[in-house]
Amino acid sequence: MTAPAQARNRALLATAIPVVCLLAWWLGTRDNPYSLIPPPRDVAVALWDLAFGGIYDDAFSGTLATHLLASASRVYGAFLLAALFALPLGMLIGHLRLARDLLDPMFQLLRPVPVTAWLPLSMIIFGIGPTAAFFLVALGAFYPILVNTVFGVRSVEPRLFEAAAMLGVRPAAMFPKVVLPAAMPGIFTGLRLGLGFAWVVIVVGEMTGVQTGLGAMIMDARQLSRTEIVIAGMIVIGIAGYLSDRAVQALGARLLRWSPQHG
Amino acid sequence: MRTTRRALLATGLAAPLVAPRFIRPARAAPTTIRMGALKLIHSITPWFYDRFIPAGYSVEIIPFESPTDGKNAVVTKSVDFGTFGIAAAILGAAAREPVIVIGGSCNKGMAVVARKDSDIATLKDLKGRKVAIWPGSTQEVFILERLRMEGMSIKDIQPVRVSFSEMATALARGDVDAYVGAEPGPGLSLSSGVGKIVEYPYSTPMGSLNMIIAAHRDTLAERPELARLIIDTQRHASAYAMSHPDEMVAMTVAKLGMKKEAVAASLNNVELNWQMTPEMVGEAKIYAQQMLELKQIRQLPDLATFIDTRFSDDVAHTA
Repeated sequence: MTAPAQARNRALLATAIPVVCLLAWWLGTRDNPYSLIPPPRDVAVALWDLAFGGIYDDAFSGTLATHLLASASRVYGAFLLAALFALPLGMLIGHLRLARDLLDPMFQLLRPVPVTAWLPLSMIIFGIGPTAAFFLVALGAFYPILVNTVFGVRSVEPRLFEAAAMLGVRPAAMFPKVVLPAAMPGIFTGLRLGLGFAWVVIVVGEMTGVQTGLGAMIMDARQLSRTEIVIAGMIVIGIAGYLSDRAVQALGARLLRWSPQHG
Repeated sequence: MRTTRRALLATGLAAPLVAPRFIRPARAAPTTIRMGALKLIHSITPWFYDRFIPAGYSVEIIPFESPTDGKNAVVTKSVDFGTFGIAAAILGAAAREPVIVIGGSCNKGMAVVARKDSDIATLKDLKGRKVAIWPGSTQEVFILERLRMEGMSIKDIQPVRVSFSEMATALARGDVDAYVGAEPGPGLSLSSGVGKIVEYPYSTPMGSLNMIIAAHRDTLAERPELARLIIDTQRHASAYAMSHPDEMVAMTVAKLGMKKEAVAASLNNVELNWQMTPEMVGEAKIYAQQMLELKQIRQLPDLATFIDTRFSDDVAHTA
């Protein structure tokens, strides 16, 4: 089979289930005098109005770019902040016994606490505003990066150390020359998951205290019973998260060409 | 062994014939009415229903966080009746959902609060200040109208999007200069010494209309006796709670976990009721018109059917 034909088949397979779901959604909501779940057409119209305005001329019209930009800046900013802390900590915990004994129990204790449970406390600590949202999103991204970095560092093949020693690598250079490159696949998986989680928690982060953002838009639409805007917001978050993931994947594939799992 | 089996078989077959002589007939299970309520002091009345509901009925209270959730629970028949803000009912009815208002539940419960040490004394002093408002709420509709009456608009203030439960904290921290809140937030700000009341925004044509009791259209058609029963129970329970403020505070603290001092400070701003009076019907219509002008709804609800005062009127005649 030729490469374009393979690509076409993959695209057909990827869209098959969403198309069936869309059809079921349309069948389930058409001809209803009212429905708490709006039909696909209403969502499409709402999405158009959100993006370009000119249909309803209400508080949501033409605001999509503002909300998307606000959310994306929080997601990427918080993700970078999370990576800034989680990567060195993960390497330390994975590499040094003392750091593991000191930090790992605390992080394992804090890790199951849901981001929603942190919401009231973050409001008190950081105040009403985007800082609290930033903190919550960073918290959501932090643990996947940390756990996968620890895992990546700890699962380096012992034979690599022996081989490196035989090739003349000094013990002090083992971490940058052996551990770090060997842990990179695990670290990239953590980064990928972390960015995904950042998009997952953005609605919680923007639930209260911020004027703009897809989470704020969804919560306002919920309050106003505008379910078509809630669904439109969900679709936008899904697409933005998907594109982010593809970008990280492409970056990983480029940097990890040598790795059989990622190259 | 064989004899034992036969004996067991015979006993088993005879048991259904003999048993009814010795077993007392089971009492019919009470009809359970599912009542949706919000986790607010304005919505405390259903927790008093047990004292007034007639024999043969019981009430199961299902608490909701937001008025929209309560309204959706009525529309999906997850509850038989629900009490929530008139705004949620209008939003549903404007979208042609089968939600019908059948009675009142609570008036008042809102306040504009500023820091005690600030120079904000009237609504005009909010100009240029950060004011916490929850978009889409009843309070938002009231404050927009009050601003209009003062010759101002939302552009004259800096609105900050804050949920009701965070408003008192936001004011205490200094994140906002004032807020348009729902009880017990204002009560909490007053009792903690942080806030002062700028005004109760009840001077608009919408009066102090706040919460109502609503039901699904089918419920009213199929079980009208339940609708009458719930309005009558609301009448007794709201009157009891209003005349026993200590019990109202204790119930709110026990069921909703709110601070006693905050609830006590909220009491004079909570007016539990039951009847859908002609004045309230008029206020609800003005309210719907306001929502249309604010583009919160795209069309007015069918006002001829959206409010059904039959049950409330009937209870009023026989009370």
